[in-house]
Parts: sequence; structure tokens; C-alpha cells
Amino acid sequence: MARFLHTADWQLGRRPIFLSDEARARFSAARVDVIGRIGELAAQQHCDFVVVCGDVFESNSIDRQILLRALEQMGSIGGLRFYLLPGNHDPLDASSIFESPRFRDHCPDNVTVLDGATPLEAADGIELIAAPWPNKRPRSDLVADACGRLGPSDALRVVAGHGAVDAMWPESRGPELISLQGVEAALDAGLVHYVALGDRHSTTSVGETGRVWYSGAPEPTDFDEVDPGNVLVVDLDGEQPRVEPHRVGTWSFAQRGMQLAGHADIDALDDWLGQFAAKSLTIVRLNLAGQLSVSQKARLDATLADHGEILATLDVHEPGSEFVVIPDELDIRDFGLSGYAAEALSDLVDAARSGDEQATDARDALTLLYRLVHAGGSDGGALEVRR
Amino acid sequence: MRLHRVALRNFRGVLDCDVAFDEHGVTVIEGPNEAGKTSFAEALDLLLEFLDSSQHRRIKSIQPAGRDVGPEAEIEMSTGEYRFVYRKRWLRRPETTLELTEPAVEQISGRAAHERVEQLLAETLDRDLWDAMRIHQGAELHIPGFDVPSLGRALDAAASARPQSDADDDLWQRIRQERDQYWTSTGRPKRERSTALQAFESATAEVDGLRSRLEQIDQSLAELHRLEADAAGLNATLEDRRRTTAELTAAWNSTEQVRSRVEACQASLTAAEAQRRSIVAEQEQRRALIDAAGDAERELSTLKDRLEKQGSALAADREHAERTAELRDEARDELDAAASRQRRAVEDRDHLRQQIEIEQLTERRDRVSEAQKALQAAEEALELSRVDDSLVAEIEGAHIAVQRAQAAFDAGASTVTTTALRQVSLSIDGAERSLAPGESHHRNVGTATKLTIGDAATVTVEPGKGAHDLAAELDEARSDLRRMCETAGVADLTEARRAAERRKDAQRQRSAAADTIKQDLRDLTPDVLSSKISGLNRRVADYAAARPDTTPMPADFERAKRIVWAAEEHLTQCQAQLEERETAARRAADLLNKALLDEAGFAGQIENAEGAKRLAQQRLATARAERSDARIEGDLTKAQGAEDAAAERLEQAQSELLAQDPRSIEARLENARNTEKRARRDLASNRTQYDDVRIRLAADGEQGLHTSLEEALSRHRVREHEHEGLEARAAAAQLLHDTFAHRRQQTRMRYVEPFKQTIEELGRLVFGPSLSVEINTDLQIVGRTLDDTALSVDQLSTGAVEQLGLLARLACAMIVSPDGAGVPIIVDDALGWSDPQRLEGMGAAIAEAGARCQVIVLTCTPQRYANVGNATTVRLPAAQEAPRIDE
Repeated sequence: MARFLHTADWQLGRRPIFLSDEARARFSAARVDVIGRIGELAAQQHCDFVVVCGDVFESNSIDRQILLRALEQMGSIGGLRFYLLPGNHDPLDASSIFESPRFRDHCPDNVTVLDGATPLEAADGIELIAAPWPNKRPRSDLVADACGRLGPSDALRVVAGHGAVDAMWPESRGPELISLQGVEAALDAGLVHYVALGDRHSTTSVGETGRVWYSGAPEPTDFDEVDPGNVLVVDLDGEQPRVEPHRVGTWSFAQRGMQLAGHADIDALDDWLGQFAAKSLTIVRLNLAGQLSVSQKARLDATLADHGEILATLDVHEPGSEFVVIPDELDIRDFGLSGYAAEALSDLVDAARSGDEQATDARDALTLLYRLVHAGGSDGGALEVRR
Repeated sequence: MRLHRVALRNFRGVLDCDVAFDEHGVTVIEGPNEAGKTSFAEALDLLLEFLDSSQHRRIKSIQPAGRDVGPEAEIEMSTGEYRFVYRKRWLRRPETTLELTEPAVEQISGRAAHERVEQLLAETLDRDLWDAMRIHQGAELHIPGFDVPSLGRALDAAASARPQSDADDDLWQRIRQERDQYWTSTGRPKRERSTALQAFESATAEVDGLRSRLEQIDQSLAELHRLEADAAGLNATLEDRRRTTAELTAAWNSTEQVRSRVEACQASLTAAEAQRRSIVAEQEQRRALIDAAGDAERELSTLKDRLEKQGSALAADREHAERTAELRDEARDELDAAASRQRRAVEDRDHLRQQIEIEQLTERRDRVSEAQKALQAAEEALELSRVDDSLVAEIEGAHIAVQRAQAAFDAGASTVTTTALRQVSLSIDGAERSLAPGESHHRNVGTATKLTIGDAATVTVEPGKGAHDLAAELDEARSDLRRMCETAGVADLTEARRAAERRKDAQRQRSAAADTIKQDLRDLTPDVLSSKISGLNRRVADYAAARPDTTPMPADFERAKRIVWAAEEHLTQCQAQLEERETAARRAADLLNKALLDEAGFAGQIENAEGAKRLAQQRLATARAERSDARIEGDLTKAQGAEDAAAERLEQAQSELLAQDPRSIEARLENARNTEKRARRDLASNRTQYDDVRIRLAADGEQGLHTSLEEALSRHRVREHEHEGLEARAAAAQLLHDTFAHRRQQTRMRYVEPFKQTIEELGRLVFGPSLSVEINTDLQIVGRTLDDTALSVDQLSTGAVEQLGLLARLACAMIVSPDGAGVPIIVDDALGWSDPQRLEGMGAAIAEAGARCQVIVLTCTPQRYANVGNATTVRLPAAQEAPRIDE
């Protein structure tokens, strides 16, 4: 009976470009900090070792500072062994970060790189079978290759692999896809007992065996992830393994498309943005569509500005083709224009409603006019237009 | 705004002048040049613009020349609800005062006054209109645009009955400012936008650069893969080559023995060849010695033959030289004879000429001696008679004096007339005479005269004193005449005249004789002439005596001359002949000399050739003594035999070697070794490249390129947002501006109409009823149509442009003024380009406008504005000469 911690896709060094400078620094630091929490969890759960199934690093060419901080973090957790598997982001090619002097010179004793297919005794009676990525474009199913070399053994065997499983992405083609059928055949044959996978950032059990798992990323990475932020604690004793997800992630991503038609929609949006628990660790993307009047748009901008200050990042997309701002009668009265100015305003409103190629410019011009009329030209604040 | 009064003191050329203006209507200020008209217009500017403390050059320029006083200007004006008097003095004791009289009395001085006026004007005056309404003297003529707020408001009110609000202007200004933030005046993007674009592009470039470096890592990985595959292939090749080399080396070694025998045979053949070549060389040397001796002998004999031939040629040259010398001598003799004949002919000719000269000189000498005789006779005659013309004149004078005294006496003396009654004798002072009856005797009585009549009576007549004096004067005159005649040696005047004639004849003869002597003597004296004649006679006689008889003397001088010419011609021919022959003789002598030198040269050559022959014979003899010709021949035969034997042995050994095909073995061995070398080189190069790529990869890996790329992408995203946001704002600002500008222009086109109508109403007074004008939205006249002919402003004459410019200002003032917002039109001597007819029309237009606004005309030519009917005229005095202050 052995217990270990299965994790993957740390992607240390990742800095999403849509974050502000301030958020990016915190986001990057959080991915190193989570190693500490994993160490604490492993100790608390009496895990024998930690296996990290690929994409430990965002790239072979990451900043030296991140590497050294991560190694320092792992080294500081004495007595717990970390097995690191090279994945598609950090393959074991000539540029491999694992082979680099900066890694070798600073690698603590409790860290082992899984750089060969040879079975490795990770704990009493537990063998690790590693399928590291030799380069970015392997020409075969690496897991199948690793399993194919195995003969019968008394030990419990854990396969550490990385990549997409063919059954989950049936539309995918490629020699490197992991064959679920092959994996399950090896499980059936008793050659291996648990397949620990990395690459998919959401925690997922693959197939029906309950022995093939993606642990998911310990901190979320992007908007399209379903259930990130977990690690798996696995009990393995020859019977059906017990796999228990534990949440370690602190950051969250949220995105939403909203159709806006008036003040009620702005209220709803305001409520939704207000409901996040850890706002400073939440990255929100909004895709806005619909039509607002100029005064409504002014209110929307103010609301978004307020939430933008609090959230880690509020990334608002207002594609001109889907989101339009057109003055309504109330706006037009509000402009208080007469004479030729009123005629010009009417021209712009017509253009904004026309939907032809000048419509977007006309809408922007109306918003500008609104500001010039109401601000009296004194604040001179820039009109923020994002499309 | 209205101007009521302007006063200037010590303002440039103006000492003190005060002018009041009509509040409504036209004020014409007349004055000659330099009276200070323009100073009035200028004073308005300076007062409103410059503080009293200003040292601006425009202020300094109004300082009166040569006087230490400060220029002063004062205006009284009303604007809006205010009326005030505003005064400034600059430069000396500067001062500013303001006295407001309406709406409330207020007095301020110093800077506060200046600021108060600025505030009043800002509140009430349209400065753009103020500037547009001025027509400066000498300023560039143009038609101003009237896009000024006052007119805009007035026209807007006329067009829509809704005054254009300041808020509208304000919004329009802000729209323009917003547009100007993004666009330059020429419609190009402003610096901020191009900077944002550049930042975006440079961020893009940075991203591309980093991506390409990351791609480079992938390429390096691929290269490593290829190098590894290459290295495996190279190792296999190398192994194969090594095996081949070993096999071929063994085969090569087995041919080694035969090859060393071949080399030994080759060596002995080479030695035999060397021996034979040495003997052949000696034989050749011997032949060379024999040939040299023969050559020397032949050379000598050739030289001797040539010397012989040379001898006969020398004789011919010598003979030729002698013959030409003889001919030259003959020519010399002929020349001597010809010269002697020529000398004779010349002497004969001279001899005959001397004879002619003797004849001529003798004739001259005879004429001279004749003339000398005549001269002497004339001199004698002149010596005898001294009566010349002046003496004759004196005698004639004395004669006339006697006659005059006689006449005076006859008139003044008493006359006694005695008339005989019968025959009587009469004695008068002793002189007797008888008178027949009836005969009378008259006697002038000068002295006491005694008259005895017969015996009848004696009458004594005593003349008076006057008669007595006259008689004395007559006697004296007679006595003078007598004395002169005696001096001249003549009896009377007639004789004196004759004597003078004779003297003149003698003078003429003397002169003629002197001329003859002078002509014939020329520069000679008679003695010299004579001695010349005798000298010539002697020479003629001598020559005739001495001349040889070989040739006859020519008959006359002419023939002698012809003989001389012939002799001289012959002499010339002889000289030419001599020159020719002398040249020929010189040439022959030169040829001879050369031949003699050649002969001497040949002798030297023969001597050398004889020495050479002896030396060659000696050398040959020495060589033969050492080894005879026959012995050399024998040695050569032996050496040839040894060489042939050695060659045969070599051939045998070589064919033995050839049977083993060593060349093929060698070539294959060489090739195998080279291939092995190449494989090693390729492998080493592969290794180097491999190491290089590894090093490069390691270096790239250390740089954290992925992290840099993510940072760069983030920056790129920010820059992209900034750039696109800026462009969107620029497009929005442009569209907003264009839309507003378009509508504004349309509105303006509506209110252009009243302005156009007013201009046309005024203009028809000048241009006639067919006038229409075209106005653009800047309210500027751009075209004029007259009698259906449309012209743009730049096609119009200067005069027409000037007239339209003034009409536009008048029209503007008429429209603006009724609501109190107007400003006076100040015309500084315009209309200089207008003809009298147009001037009349312009006068009417100004008068028409003057009824509704204030017009001030400054002019030095009052007749230009004589047609302005309702004008008030102010005359300025001529420039006031400032009193000089002597320091």
C-alpha cells in the first residue's frame, strides 16, 4: 500500500499577456507558492512522494529567477521526494531546462527528473514508469512505448505520462496521442496499476477503470478550464485505487458574454461582477453585445471602471459589430443642441444607426460629443474605445 | 464702439493736435504728407496695446526727433455702455490715466487703468472686427474675410431670427480643439499618433524578434538531430576506409623489393649517362676551339679585301677634289677681271660727269661777276641821292604851309586897288608899272607900302596889326620851304620828287643783283666756286692723262652709265658662279677627308684581327697537348657502351615491377588514405558544429527568452490598445468635426445672403446696376459679376479689389453697427487706384454707410473724398517744425 500525490501542469513562468503588470507578477508568484501548499498537503496526507506529470515549466526558456525560486521551494520541503516529468512545454531535448547548468547546479536532493523509461523505485513496492517527452514532436505514443518494454513484476507500477488521450479528443490525429485502449490493456494485463497523466488542466478521470487520471493544474491557467486548482492524493494497494482531489489553487478565471439593452442589464452585470469571493485573485473577461444609449454607456463605463480597480483584471471586449452605443431621444434632448449643431447631431445619429462602415466612427463621435457637451471641455479625459 | 476724439502731443512729428469725430457719419481728416494722419491711426493701436513703461521699438519710433519729451496720446471713446477718456505718455515721465464718465464716473491711473481698459474692451469689443475694419496706408491690398463673431451674430440673427449663442461658438471651438489634438492643420496625423504607431510597431518588432529567436532554438534542435544522424554515417564510412587502407598497404609493401632494384639500376644508368655527357661536352669544346681559329683567319682576310677596295675609291675622291678646286680658282680669276672692268666703267662715267659739272660752274661764276658790277653801280647811285620818300613828304608839308599862309594873308591883309583913269605909271615900293585906262591893279598890303601914282600922288598905306602878322607868318613859311629844299639839294618840290624816283630805281637794281648772286653762289663763295672749277679741271686733265688706252673712252655720259650697268651685271654673275664652285670644292674635300679617316680605321681593325687569330691558334694547341682529338673520340665510344648496358638492366627490372601493377596499388592506397582523412575531417567538423549548436542552445536557454516574449506580448497588447484607441478617437474627432463643419457651413451660406445684399446695394452705386458678388462661407468676396461677366477676385484690377475691400467693410459695419456692437471703419488714404467716376460712386457708398456707422477717413488728397456728401472735414496743419532746444 502506497500513497502519493499526483499533480501536473505547474507551468511555472506562465504570465498571461492580458493581465496588468501588477497582476501578472502576482499570478506568476502564485504558481511558485502553490508548491508550498502541495508540500504541506503531502505531509498532512502522509504521501510517499509527489509525481508531477509534465509541463512543470511553461517553457525550456523561462526566466532564471522563477526556476531558482521553484527549486528552492521544493528543496525547502525536506523528506518529500518530487519526481518531475518533462512534458510538451519542457521536453527533454538539447535545450531542456532539466539538463541546463542552472537547473543542475541548483537542483535539491529531493528532486528527481524522470528522464528515462527505466522503472524507478519511488517507494517501497512502487515503481515509477516514466514516459518523458524527448522533444516537442514525438513520433509515437510515449506511454505505449514505456509500457511495451515492461515485463511482469511484483511491484505496483505507476505510469507517469503527459499528453492527450485519443478517446477524449476523437477528432485529433497525431502519432503522439496516448491510446486509451493500449493503457487499459496494460492495466488489464497487470503490467501497470495507475496511470498518472498531465496536459489537461481540469481534473478528469479518463475511461471507466478509475485508474487513469488527469490531475489538472494546481493553479488555473486560462478561461477555458472546467475544474482546475486541484491535486490528487492516490492510495494504491493492488485493488481499485482511491483517488481524492484536493483544492490547492487560489486564483480563478471567469468569462461571460452579456447582452446589454438597458439599465437592468447593467444592474445584472454589476451584481455578477460583485459576487466573486477573492476579487483580487480573479481574472474576468467580458464579451459585451447589444445596444445602449449614450448615457447608459456612460454608466456602464463607470461601473466597469469600479470593478476593474478591484478585480485582478477585467478584460472587456466590446466588438463594434455587436455592441453599439446610439443616442436615444433622451440623450438627444440631453445634448441641449439647436441650430446647426442639432442638425449635425442628427446626421451623426443617422450614421450611427445606418450600420454601414462609418457607423462605428459615428458612434464614437457621438460619445465624444456627449463628453464635450457635458464636460464643458474642461476635463479633457480621453474617451476609451475598445473594440 | 465709437471714437469721439483723438489728441496727440509730441507724437513723432506732431507737436499738439486734437481732432474730434462725428459720432455717426463720415469724418474726413485732411492734411498734407507728414502732418501726422497716420499717427492718429497708430496712436489707437499703441494706446490699447502698450503699457506706458514699454520700450518697444514701435514706442521708441514715435519719440520726436531731437527733443527730450515723452510722446502722448489721448482718446475719448464709447464702447458698450462705457464712455471714457484714456491717455498715455511713454518714455519720459510715463503716465496712464483713465476717466470713465458713463455709466458711472470713475478715475483710475497707472497699470490699473490699462488693465481696466483691457477688461472693458474684452467685454464689449469684437477685436477681430476691429482689426478687419482697418485699412492701413501702404498695407497689402486685399479683401478681408469677415468671419468674426459680431458679424456672425448679426447675420445669424438676420437669417434665423435666433442669435447664435456663445455656447454654440464654444462647442464648435471645443470640437475643433478635439480634432486638432489628433490632426495637423494639413490633415496629417499628429505626433502623438505617429509616436503611438511607432511604439506599436516597435513592440510588434520586439515580439517578432523574440519569436524568431525562439524559433531559432527549434531550428537548432532540428540541426542537432541532423548532425547526430550525419555523425553516425560518417563513423561507418571511416571504419570502412580504415579497412581498405590496411589491405592496400600490405599489397604495396610486397612490391617494395623489386622497386629498390629498379632504383639501383636507375642510379647506375644515371651515372653512365653523366660520364658520356661529360666526354661529349669536352668534344664540343674542342670543336669550338677549332672553329674559333678558323673564324679569326677568315675575319682577317675579309678585312684585308675591304681595305684594298677602299684604296681605289680614295684615289677617285682625291681626283674629284682637285678638279673642283681648279674650277673654283678659274671662277675667282674671272671675278677679278669683271671687277676691274667695272671699276674702269665707273671711273669713265665719273670723269664725264665732272666735265659737265665744270661747264655748269663756269656759267654760274660769270653770272655772279655781272651782278656784282650792277650792284656796285646801284650802291653808288644811292650814295649820291639822299632824297627818299620821307624827305619828299616833309618838303610837301612845307610847300602846303606856304600856300596856306599865302591864302591867309590874301584874305586878311588890306587890299589896295588902283584903277587907272588914264594911262598912268605906278610905283609901288619902288616897283614901277603902268596902267592903261580902266586897268586895275590890286595889291595886298602887309607892310607899310608906298604907292606913287605917276606923279600925281604918293599914297602910303599903313596896314593894320593883323595884316602885318599874316605877312610875317607867310615869310616864315617861305623861309622854311627854302631851307628844306637846300638841305635836300633840290630847287623845289618837283625836283625833290624826281630825285626820290631815281633813288627807288637804284634800290631795285641792287636787289635784283643781290638775288642773282645769291642764286648762283648758293652755299659757296665766289672764291670757293672758282677753286672748285679749277680743282675739277685739274682732275679731268689728270684722269685723261693717266687713263690707259686699252679701251676707248665712251662718247658721252649717258653711254658711260650704260657701260657701268653692264659691267655690274657681269660682276654679279661671276660672284654667283664663284660661290657655286666653292661649295662643290668644299664637298669634294669633305668626301676625301672621310675616305682618309676610313682608311685609317681599317688599319686598326686588321691589327685586332691578327691578334685574335694568334690567340685562337694558341688555345687550340694547348688543348690538343692535354688530350688529343683522337683520344677524346675513343673515350666517347667506351662511355656509350657502358650506358647502353645499364639501360638494358633497368628495362629488365622495370618490366618485372610492372607485372606487379604497383601504380594501381599506389593510387588505390592514396585514395583510401585521402577518403579516410576526409571522413575524419567531416566528423571533426560535424563535432564542432554539434558543439557550437549545443553551446548556442545553452546560451539561449539561459536568457529566459520565453519569459521575455510573454513580457513583450503584454507590452505589445498595451501598445496595440493605445494605438487603436488613439486612431478610433482621431476618426471620431474628425467625423464630429466634419459633420459640424458641414452643417455650420450650410447655415452660414444662409446668412451670407444679407451680407451679400448689403455689399451689392452699396456696390451698385460704384459699379452700376448689373453688379453681383460671390461670397464664401468665411464671408469673403471671392468673385464679382458685372454685365454678365464673372471674374474671380484675383482676376480683378487693383482698383476694383481696393473698392470691393472697402465696400465689404462698409457693408459689415452697416450690418453690425445698429446693435451697438460695431467699430469705426478707419480708412487711411485708400482709393489711390480709383478713377474719378468710381471715386464718385465710392463717395456715395461711403456717405450711405456713414448714415449707419462711424467712418473715419485719413487723407492727404482731399479731392478723393470730395464726393462724400455728408462728411465733416477736419484739416490738419502741415507738419509742425519742432522748436530746437540748443543744449
